[in-house]
Amino acid sequence: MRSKIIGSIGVTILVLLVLIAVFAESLAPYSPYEQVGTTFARPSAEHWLGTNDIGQDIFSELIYGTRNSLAVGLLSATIAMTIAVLVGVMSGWFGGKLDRILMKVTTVFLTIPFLPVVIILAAFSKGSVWSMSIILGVMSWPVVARILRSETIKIKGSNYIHMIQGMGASDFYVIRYHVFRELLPLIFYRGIIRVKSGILAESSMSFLGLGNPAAKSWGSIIYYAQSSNALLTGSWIWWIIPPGLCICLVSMALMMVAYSFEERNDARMEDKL
Amino acid sequence: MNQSILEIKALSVWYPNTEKPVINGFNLNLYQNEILCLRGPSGSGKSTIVASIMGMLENYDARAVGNIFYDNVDLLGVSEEKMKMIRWHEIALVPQFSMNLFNPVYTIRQTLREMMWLKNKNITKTKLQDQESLLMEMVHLEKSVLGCYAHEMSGGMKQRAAIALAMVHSPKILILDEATTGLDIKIQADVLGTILRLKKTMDMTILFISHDAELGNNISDRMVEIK
Repeated sequence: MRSKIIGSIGVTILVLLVLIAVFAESLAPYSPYEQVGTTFARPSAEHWLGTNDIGQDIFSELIYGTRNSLAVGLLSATIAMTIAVLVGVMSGWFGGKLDRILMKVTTVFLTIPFLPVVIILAAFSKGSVWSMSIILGVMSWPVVARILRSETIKIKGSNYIHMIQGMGASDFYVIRYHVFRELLPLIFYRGIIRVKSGILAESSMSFLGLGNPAAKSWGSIIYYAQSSNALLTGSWIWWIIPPGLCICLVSMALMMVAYSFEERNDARMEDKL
Repeated sequence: MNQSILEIKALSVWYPNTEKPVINGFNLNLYQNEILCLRGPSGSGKSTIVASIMGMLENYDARAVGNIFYDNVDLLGVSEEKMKMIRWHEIALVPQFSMNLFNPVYTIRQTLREMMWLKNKNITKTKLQDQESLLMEMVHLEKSVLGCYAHEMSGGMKQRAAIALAMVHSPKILILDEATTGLDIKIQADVLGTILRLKKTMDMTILFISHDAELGNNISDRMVEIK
């Protein structure tokens, strides 16, 4: 019951954030790309979160930022999970030479230090949503692939899989209708965690100035605030804290959904035993 | 005595990294419409013999020599394609832990229907419904059980559902590998009743694997000891 409530809260927050991202144009009072007020204006009825160093409305930036942050999180998670599922399942199912090759590739990716490589790649790319998502997705699949491989090996050894194979079912059929279906809760859970990691990584990259300077994201708002000495001028209260809170909020919401999902899955597992 | 339906000749099986065979020169004749109990202590190789008959030794990386004749075909030398026509269709198995026979995310209905569909991809929905009802009747299970997942059933129900699953293709030989082990007396009696009924009504040949001599004596027509 408790996990259900936690999960519902998480889903509600996420739905709200997605709606904000989708309807950003209608919700934002101003264009975040235009000067609409005086510089460093304090929060007021006109500008709820004040303005930045070039007179742009921070509240509008925050709303538009939701779009980029969520898009990078979702896209990078989709890319990472697609690679992880393909590598993990194929490796675990077919075994042999293919398994050895795929696991060697996985090990190579695991040994690459994530942050330095992502920083280098992001510095060379244009920092768009797509390039950021591809970089983060391609760099973050190996751990999930390893987990999925071991689960696939476990499922492959089940009596019912032997039985269905013995009946003449093809590899594709068994993977599609049995292995994948059994892996789905794990894929979903890991996918949620990857969305969260993607959002945090995008914010970190943008904070380091490696994002697209023209695109609005929560990380880039903090980056510009920090480079404009917001911490010294006192404007950090309305310039740094709100995007920071948004990053925390979305991470918390995703973790609430993941926690609730894991709890429900564990309860189902306990019923089975 | 009836005609022999399955004949095992000088069967020896080795597991990887072992010099001594787990089964050494084993011989057995299974006659039509009999219940033969293959009895032996744990580790004597009973399940290995079952895996050899079912052509599933590859799953354990084991190798075998000898012959297992079924319908003039040596099951140890037959191609996997041919074996797929025999396994589950002609010779079916109810393993010791029937829980593992069911996909945990599939209901009993889905599992049964999948087995039927894999045999005949053009099977109609009405035929599927008729056949699943017949199978439930055969093993004395309520129709409502069809909507259950394996973990929602008791040990005896699971075992009977496993027998129903093995009976999907009306095999000629049914192998029960310790099918009643771990069940309490009443449920054991239920499952044994189902087995006896199958023999009588379906003209089945049954290979009953057990470590329990008393149980074997009670249910079988003949008992073979393995050491």
